[in-house]
Amino acid sequence: MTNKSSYVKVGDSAPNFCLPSVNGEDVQFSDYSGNKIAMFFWASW
Amino acid sequence: MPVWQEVSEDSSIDIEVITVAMDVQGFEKPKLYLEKAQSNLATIIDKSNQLGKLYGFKAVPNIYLIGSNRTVDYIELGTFNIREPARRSLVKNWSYGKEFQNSQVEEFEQDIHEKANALFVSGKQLFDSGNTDGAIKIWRKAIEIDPKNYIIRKQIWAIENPNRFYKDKVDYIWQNTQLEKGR
Repeated sequence: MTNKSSYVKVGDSAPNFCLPSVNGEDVQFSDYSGNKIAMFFWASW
Repeated sequence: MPVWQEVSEDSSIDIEVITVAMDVQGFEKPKLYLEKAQSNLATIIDKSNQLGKLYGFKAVPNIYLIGSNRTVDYIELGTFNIREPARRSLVKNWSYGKEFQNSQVEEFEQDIHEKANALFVSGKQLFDSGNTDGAIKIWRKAIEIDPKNYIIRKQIWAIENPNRFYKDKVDYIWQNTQLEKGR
């Protein structure tokens, strides 16, 4: 079972990730370091 | 999505917008959506819910504002209506170094809730006097400023579409399509 307290909260460091973009290339979250980011989660459904 | 496109194009707000599509089916479905929305936002696909598990959310949409030092400064689970001037101003100020204060958001939420309820009362008076169209017009204004107010939103749906509510079962699939259309 996942420990709920391990979820990302205000004040935590945002976790790094590497995932593909819609254009096919891999995106590393760390590529954006130094910028303020609005990360918007959505879905087509 | 279109609202975040607007934000990314607003030169007075200095942030990068990344969108994450939580589509298990992969690229095609979100790509179609992005094309329809004429979006050129950086969009990644999280087919395996990797970030959903890390961040701990169970539904979308959600917004996370992350500072330049990678600290999460603000989380909103659900709709974040950045078209609202006060909220947009908070994001703008945050982008230029001011702290994003939850208390400001709470005050803002209370303010729009009160405004929406005042409109609801005005509409109710029209409704009680038999002016249903007038009431709905005012209630629509209320949900424009307070999109999360499902009490008002669903009153409109139930009046305009009684068959979706009172004939057989409540039609939740139809309700979801209404939400997608922003109705």
